[in-house]
Amino acid sequence: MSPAWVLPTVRATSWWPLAVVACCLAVVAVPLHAGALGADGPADDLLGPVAAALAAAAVAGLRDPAAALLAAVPAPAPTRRTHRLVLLVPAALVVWSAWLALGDDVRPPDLLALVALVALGLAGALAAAGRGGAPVGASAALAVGTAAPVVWVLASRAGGHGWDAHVGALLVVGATALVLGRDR
Amino acid sequence: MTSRPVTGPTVPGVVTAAPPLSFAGVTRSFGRSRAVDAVSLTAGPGVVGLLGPNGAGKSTLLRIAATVLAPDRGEVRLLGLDPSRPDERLEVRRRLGYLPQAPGLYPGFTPFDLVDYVAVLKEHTHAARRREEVRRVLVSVGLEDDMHRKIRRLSGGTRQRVALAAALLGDPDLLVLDEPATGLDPEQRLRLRSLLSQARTVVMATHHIAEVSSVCHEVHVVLGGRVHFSGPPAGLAALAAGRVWEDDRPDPRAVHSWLTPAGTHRHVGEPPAGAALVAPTLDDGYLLLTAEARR
Repeated sequence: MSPAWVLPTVRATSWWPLAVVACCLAVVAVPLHAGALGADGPADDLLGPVAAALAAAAVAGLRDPAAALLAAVPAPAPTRRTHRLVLLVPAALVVWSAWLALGDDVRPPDLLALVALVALGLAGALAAAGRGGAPVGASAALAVGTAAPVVWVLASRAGGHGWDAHVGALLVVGATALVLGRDR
Repeated sequence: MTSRPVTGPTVPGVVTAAPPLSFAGVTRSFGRSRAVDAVSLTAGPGVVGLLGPNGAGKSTLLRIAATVLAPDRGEVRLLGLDPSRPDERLEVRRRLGYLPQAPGLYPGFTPFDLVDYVAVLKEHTHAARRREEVRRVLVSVGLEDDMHRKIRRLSGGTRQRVALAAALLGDPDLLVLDEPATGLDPEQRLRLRSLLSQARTVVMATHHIAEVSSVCHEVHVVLGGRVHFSGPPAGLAALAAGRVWEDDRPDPRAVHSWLTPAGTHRHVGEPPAGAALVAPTLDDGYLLLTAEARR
């Protein structure tokens, strides 16, 4: 595939979820940076929810209103999804890095932790899509995928372990889902 | 446009003629609901219509024909290839055009941008030739004046033509169209008929019987996931021969009755003795078939 896909994919991608999260973080970052919230940087408690929001936004960006029209083109759905992820994940990582940069003494989790949450969301969407033939980008499956990172972080907190404690396992889950859902 | 023979996978020295579309015992279920039940049919060059009420299984059949959906059971051959094999599915998709029933579009794109994007995904890699092809298909559906307007500003019928233009890219060997006339005005429908009559092999689902009688050389009536009739449109009309009559009163014995613009009641079913029989139309044959299938 030639790079001709880049510009139309940029235009076709749903950027607004990521933009909304980035704007919200920018609003929160101002008092945080000024110490108004009583911290020198992003508090540990906020890292999980922020990562979950960014991962959910990246997965939500896969929404594709033209998925049905494109369902039978030679470039299959996984390829088109990869095109979007190639654009969305770096953008989410930029926002995540900017957020982490606010802190001085907070140990930034590996950037891979955010990628792992996106992988979990993708796995949720692919699993929910099932074999029904509904495109992942145009079905309720995407809602499941968007919720997955949020549920993971909330469950981790309820379970008393760190949301980023199982990055390797999440990446394996995501990779497995990509292989099993390669026709979806 | 001339039709060309459809051949199977390229094997040196061997050319295999095959129908562009062939289903044998194709079954597909969604949960407990069987959408398509042991359907066998073939489609040769020309236009083949699928008729049937909502939920009959037409769209599922077309999604299978477009390689979007795999059957649970049965054998599918498209352009002589087996779409269950990834390499052959890719080859089919290179030679296939598909218009789904509800083709979503990107509202912020222009028709030109959208069809150009589809062309990129259809492996039209040469930029200048691709743009020329995009312009050609947009003009062919009558969008020469609207190709650079935002899709969000276009009417429903015009959007339908944008999606149709995307399906026509590359002059495909097999066109799979789900309700292509939806939202089109009479002039655009005539243009659609002209386009379809030039295409190689077209399989289309429609509720418009006028479309079937004007462009299809063969029609399949799908009811409850099964094919109940296959043959020429005249054959479907002939099913009602001797079973259509007109009267000045409603007839409770008829399976279907309706008031005609002339003020008479037209009936389909078993005519009473002495009934004034009239020549059956495609509508009569279809209504009789669906009514009998429901019994």
